[in-house]
Amino acid sequence: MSVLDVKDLTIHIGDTKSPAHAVDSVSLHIERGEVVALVGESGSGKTLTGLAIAGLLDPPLRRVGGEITLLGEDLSALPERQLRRRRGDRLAMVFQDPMATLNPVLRIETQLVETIRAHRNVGRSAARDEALAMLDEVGITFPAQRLRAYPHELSGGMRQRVAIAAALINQPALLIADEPTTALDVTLQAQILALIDQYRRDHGTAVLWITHDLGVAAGFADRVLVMYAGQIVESGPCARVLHAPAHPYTAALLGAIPGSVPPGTPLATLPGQPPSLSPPPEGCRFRARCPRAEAACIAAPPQVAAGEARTVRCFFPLVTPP
Amino acid sequence: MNEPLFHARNISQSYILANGWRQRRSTLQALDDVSLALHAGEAVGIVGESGSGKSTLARIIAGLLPPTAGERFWQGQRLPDGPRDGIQMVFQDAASALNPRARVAELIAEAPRIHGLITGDESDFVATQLSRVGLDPQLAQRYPHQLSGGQRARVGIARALAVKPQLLVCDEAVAALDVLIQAQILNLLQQLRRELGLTLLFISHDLGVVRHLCERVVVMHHGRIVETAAAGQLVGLPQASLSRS
Repeated sequence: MSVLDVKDLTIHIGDTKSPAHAVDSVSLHIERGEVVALVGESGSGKTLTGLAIAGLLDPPLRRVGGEITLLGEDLSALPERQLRRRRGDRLAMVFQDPMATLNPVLRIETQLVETIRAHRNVGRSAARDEALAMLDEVGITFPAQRLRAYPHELSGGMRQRVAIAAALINQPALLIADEPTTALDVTLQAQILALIDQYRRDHGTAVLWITHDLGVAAGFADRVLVMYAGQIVESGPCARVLHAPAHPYTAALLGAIPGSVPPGTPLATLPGQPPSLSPPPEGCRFRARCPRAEAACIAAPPQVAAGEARTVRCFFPLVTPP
Repeated sequence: MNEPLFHARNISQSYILANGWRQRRSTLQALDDVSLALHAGEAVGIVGESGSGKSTLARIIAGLLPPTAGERFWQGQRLPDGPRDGIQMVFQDAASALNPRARVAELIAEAPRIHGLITGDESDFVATQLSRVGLDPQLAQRYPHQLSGGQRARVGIARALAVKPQLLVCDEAVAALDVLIQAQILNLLQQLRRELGLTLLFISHDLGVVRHLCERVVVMHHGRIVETAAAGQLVGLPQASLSRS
């Protein structure tokens, strides 16, 4: 059984007459101990997918369809009260800005102890000991002193570690990480990646890693899902997708990374911008920018197999199924 | 070797950290005796972790911050403190670097008008500047919030180039952009370098970007330059291995 199973998740933004179709029939699953990277540009719907799984969509964002199953339980049918009990317990989320998680006017100790006691019947001092051990596990030096600190007294990297500690403290089965390393420099980024990688090996946590950085996905994820204009356009094992992309959009993303061409020569770019999604364009959403587009692309391409454990949403993929 | 276009000599910068009432004042040595020469037409990258002093150095070179010690030279002449139109800067976050209440046309034309590069109607001048960075001249009447991230980054570059600088200092100018838009901006900077003979100082924490754009790379650590090398030769650095992992 998968830890997480999402079927046909559809999210609209705005009024019911002409909503933006921000996420369209996204399906994904994550196994125990697996890291799945959800990759895409700003506005591709990757963050909304993560928020919807955590049940954190607020108007004008609306989930208009789809099922979200966590450990066999249908989250999409749960009332908000029940959902609250799952968040921070069975599933937890880390954001790009740790201050989105941390309360600026409470000590770290208060916040971690509160997180534990909201979900488990643990005494105050036992909870404090757990918080201390957790800070140590996420690599915070002098954890006893840091427990007494307020968030503003910590550096950016340390704050992100505390946010991660708060997310992991109740041993969630699923961790949703939305660009938690984007604002950090490369050294810290590598440390945070190593930290989460170690944790999921030790505890079997399933990880949904949302990022726009294919480099991060490459070194860390087992599988990668590429999103464009609200749809998953390609999925498969990380190494194979990044080595031989099937969808022209994935190929374009890889070609735009400095280092893919000799220094000084122009990087491959795409003309135009992602399409407006209210309403979404007919047919293939990537058609207008695609170097391989043909007349057939007026029709919407289905998601088809592209080799072992791979799918692609394209009539003319770069990799043909064997 | 001939005279460098720009030379920063023995630059030091310390910030005073006020710890609060009656606490001992401590200082942070952000830059410690840094010297850097830039030759005309060269592209030099500065890499380093957060807090290594690379942005402080950029601001001092651009004249936005007077250094605690040290001097700047322009073609051998000592520069007084303060900015000058030959050196312009492009910032990381174009959304906060551009005045939100000014239209694109005003953002681009204000400085050149003060420097006497525009007299009378500015619309032709603005259109030329916008086309040069690959933007539709129609955008001149928009406000920054009506532009996409990539368009704002281009306006930030157009604004800097409007006063005809010879040296462009880019502080993490592409760090906040998606990879496809980043590629467009990097291509644009390459093209502008060729067309205008610009000298480029490019600050970034991304070695891949620096290696792509620059011929020479300076590595900073704790306020000092710890290594200067040709861009191709930096692969052995510990930071390089971190950024690959």
